[in-house]
Amino acid sequence: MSTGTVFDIQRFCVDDGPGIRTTVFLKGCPLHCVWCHNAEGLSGKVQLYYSAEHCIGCQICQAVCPVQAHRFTDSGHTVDFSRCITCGACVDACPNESLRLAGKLMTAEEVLSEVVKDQPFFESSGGGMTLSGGEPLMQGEFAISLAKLAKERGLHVCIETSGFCNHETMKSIAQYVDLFLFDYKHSSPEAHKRYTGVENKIILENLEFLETLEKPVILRCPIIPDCNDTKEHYGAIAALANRMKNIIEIHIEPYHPFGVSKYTALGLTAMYNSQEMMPKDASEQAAETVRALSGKNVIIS
Amino acid sequence: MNYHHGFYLKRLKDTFGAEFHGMSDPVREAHLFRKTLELYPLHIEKNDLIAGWYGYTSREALESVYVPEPEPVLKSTREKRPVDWLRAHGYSPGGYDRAHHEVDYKTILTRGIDSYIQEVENELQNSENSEEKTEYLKGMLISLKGAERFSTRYAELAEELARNTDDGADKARLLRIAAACRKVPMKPPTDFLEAVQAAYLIRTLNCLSSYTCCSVSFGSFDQYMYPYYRVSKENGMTEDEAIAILLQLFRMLDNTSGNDCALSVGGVDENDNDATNELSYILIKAEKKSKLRAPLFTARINRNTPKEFMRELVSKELFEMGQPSFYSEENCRAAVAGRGIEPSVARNFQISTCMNLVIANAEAAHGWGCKVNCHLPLELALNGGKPLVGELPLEFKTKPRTEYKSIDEIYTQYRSYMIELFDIAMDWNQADTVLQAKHQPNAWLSALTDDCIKRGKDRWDGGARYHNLIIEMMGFANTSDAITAIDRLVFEQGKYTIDDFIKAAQANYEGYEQLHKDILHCDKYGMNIDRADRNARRLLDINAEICEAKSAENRRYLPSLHTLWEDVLWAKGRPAFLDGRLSGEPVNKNAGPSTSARRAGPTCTAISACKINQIRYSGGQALDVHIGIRNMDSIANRDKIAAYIQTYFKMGGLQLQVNGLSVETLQKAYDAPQEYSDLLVRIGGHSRYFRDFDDNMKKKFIERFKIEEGAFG
Repeated sequence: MSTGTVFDIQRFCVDDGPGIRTTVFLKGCPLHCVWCHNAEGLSGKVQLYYSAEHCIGCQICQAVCPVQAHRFTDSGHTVDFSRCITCGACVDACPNESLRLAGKLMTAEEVLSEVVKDQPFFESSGGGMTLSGGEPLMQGEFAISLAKLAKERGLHVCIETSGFCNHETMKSIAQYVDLFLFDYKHSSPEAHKRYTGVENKIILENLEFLETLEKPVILRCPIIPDCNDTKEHYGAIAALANRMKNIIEIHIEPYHPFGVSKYTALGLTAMYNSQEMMPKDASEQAAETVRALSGKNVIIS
Repeated sequence: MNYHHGFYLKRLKDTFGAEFHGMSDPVREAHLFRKTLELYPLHIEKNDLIAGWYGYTSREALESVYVPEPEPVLKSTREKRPVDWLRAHGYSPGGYDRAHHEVDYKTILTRGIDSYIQEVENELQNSENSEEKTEYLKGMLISLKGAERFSTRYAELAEELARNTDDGADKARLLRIAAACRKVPMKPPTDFLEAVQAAYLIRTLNCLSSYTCCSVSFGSFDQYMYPYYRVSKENGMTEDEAIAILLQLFRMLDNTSGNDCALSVGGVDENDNDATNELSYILIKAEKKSKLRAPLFTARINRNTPKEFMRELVSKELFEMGQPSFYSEENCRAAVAGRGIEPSVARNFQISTCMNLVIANAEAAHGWGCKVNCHLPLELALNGGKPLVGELPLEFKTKPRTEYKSIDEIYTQYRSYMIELFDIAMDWNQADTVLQAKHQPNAWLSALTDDCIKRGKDRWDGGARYHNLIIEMMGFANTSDAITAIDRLVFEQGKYTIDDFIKAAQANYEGYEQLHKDILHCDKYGMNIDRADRNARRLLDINAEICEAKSAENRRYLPSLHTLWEDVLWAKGRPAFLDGRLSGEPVNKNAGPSTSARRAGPTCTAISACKINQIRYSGGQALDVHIGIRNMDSIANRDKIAAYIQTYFKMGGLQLQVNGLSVETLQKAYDAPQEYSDLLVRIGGHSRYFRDFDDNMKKKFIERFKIEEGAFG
């Protein structure tokens, strides 16, 4: 029985493929994009997540913690994440949901039983299940099992992926996936490595492989000020889309800062911590440039 | 101009009271209605296309004739103390309901008021009439004839204004109004302007006759107005001209009724084909343009509702105004038929106010009938016949007990207490309604209600074919969640006793934090978990059965899950519940789950709500969901919301209120995060609960939303 670490199952998702979708977020990612807004997806392990906004200062967590990870001082509640063994004692005790565990070990069957609860909505809207993360293919075996089970239940399956996985994993999952939401983060190999931690060679090979299978792909392009908001990058997106017939649509994803606070909640430091959203006219200009050069359907999501 | 209203014209009564002294109740009340119609200040504003403004031009002018306190309520001769005790425990028995009415506009427009006068005069010729019936018919006649004076006054005012203007176009416009008001509502209208004029005057007369504008509705406006619209269109009326008439109608409604006057679009024809028409679309355009509270825009959705119509209804402009409320044609019809009404009659149901389903031509509907505290019988069952807090010194026939081995035993005891509480409340309600109907009858509304002329009776006093009372089940989800938690933590795990639950709730869970947390972690209705949803259904089936058993003759008690805003206001006065809800916290809203279960998301909420036998709750209910989609301009996204709505109806839902993101919603969520704990915001594939943003990010999100979405508010 295949098991994996899941950090969320979100229902009524409208941006993760066609129709109404239920998106399963798997933990762990081989990339470390500086702008990542899903910080709980970076590590493959279960993590403590502390929302300071909801802490009422009752100090119960301090009392039940076996490793003294929680401290209350004059400056308030501090969490020493390096001590935390994610036993969950503080989570159980917290009266105001200030603490939770990001990540839960689940079998593919358990996940699917949650997903299929929404089947009436999939049927009426042409929706289905989307695998996301993190990088869902980092838990390749689990992701493949889940996608296979979903197909056996007749569900439409999408996967949001960076494309950074070995060829065999991509080959295996492709047979169970109807639509790939494939990230395209940077056109320059050097810059790709600088901003994501990995080169884009494997990613492009996997994208080309999907073309040979004629698997439909939506290219998802995060646009990050001072990282990849250049005409050269927009031109490269368009060129790629023009070259590959299986790219059916391009999504421009302008930077937003709503994921920055998650880093603090996990005891991490955001590498790209701009508090400003990308201006609307800048994202519209990016979309317009790509649209003009590619002739494909380009939307801002 | 804002006009101020005061329907309790005490000065009027003081002035004319002596004139009508000694007359029978229906004749006296009819004369007072007639005097109101003769004396109430009327207005026609610059550029008006139809007449209809009324009221005082300043608060001071109103106060010179208006005494805010209502007439002394006629005292019921019945013992009231048990009812007062029940009130202290959130069990409101209601009483005579002046508001919540709707008439059959289609028939009235077709016939004209003159034909009702003729019918009453014919009935008066019946030599077998009792004196009581004759007096009631006289009251009807006075009331109906008063309508002619009212519309003629508008005609005279328009003619006077026309005489005083040199502008040719202005004069023509005013004379058009005058001509319409000399004709309608006494004679049938022949074109769109006359029909809208007639409908608005009839509605105004309905309001004035009942001394309230609250919840006085219009029904399926696009259906009964369509023939008149077509005539005008064939005679050259443009879409802009039709919209201008509707916008004035909406402005006048807004001045008198807020957002409780329902106006429906959509529906089916006599062969069950979709009946959406050109006027339906024009009404949506007018509604989007008006941006007013009124009317309460309601959409009747059937299996064949066109995709294009759904796209027009699922729009950013409407959602930001909290409009429309969606109703399932097929399920609502089944619910009305479930009351024991013939299917051929049930198909004519109309939507009235915020959730009533009525047979407009033949019903006296008590729309805000009785609020039932669903949690109180559970308290009595578990606490030896006593409420958790305070006293309830009633002598119950139910034998008290405190020991239970299963939830089956708890349900049996719950049912027994609920029957006793319901009997006390409804017996009082019935007595009060009949007493009021006899002494302050409404002969105008009764004349427009089928059978009342033939019977010579008030609609509330046996005149109407159907006499329905809505029974609002307050806090049902909290109550069933409490039973689910007891089942889990007491009977299954043995971790706590029922006494632990009672002591903890009595202490508002202070000192019982672990139990509180354990309760909150139990399965809840609304999370699409069968165990919890089964308890909700079981509880509601028991309560429905009690309502059905109490119904007799033409009087029906219709269970409802409607809470309006009482989920917050009513709940403020309620102590802690056994489901972990703290003192003063909101209870579940309408058919939705309790606060702690809301975050399961809109699909879970919808599926859970459809596990309830909604058809049996024909008193009406809405399911309120928040859809956090930012980009409502996208047709794909609108289609997804439309699919959600239609799936809910396919699964058995009656009514759905979808709240999209708006500046107003976000601001409310900022100010009261607990009440919007389920508000999920989505941006570029990133989803988070709004409450989880820190303060700075919440402000940023709202600010950004205002700029990007061009939202008003």
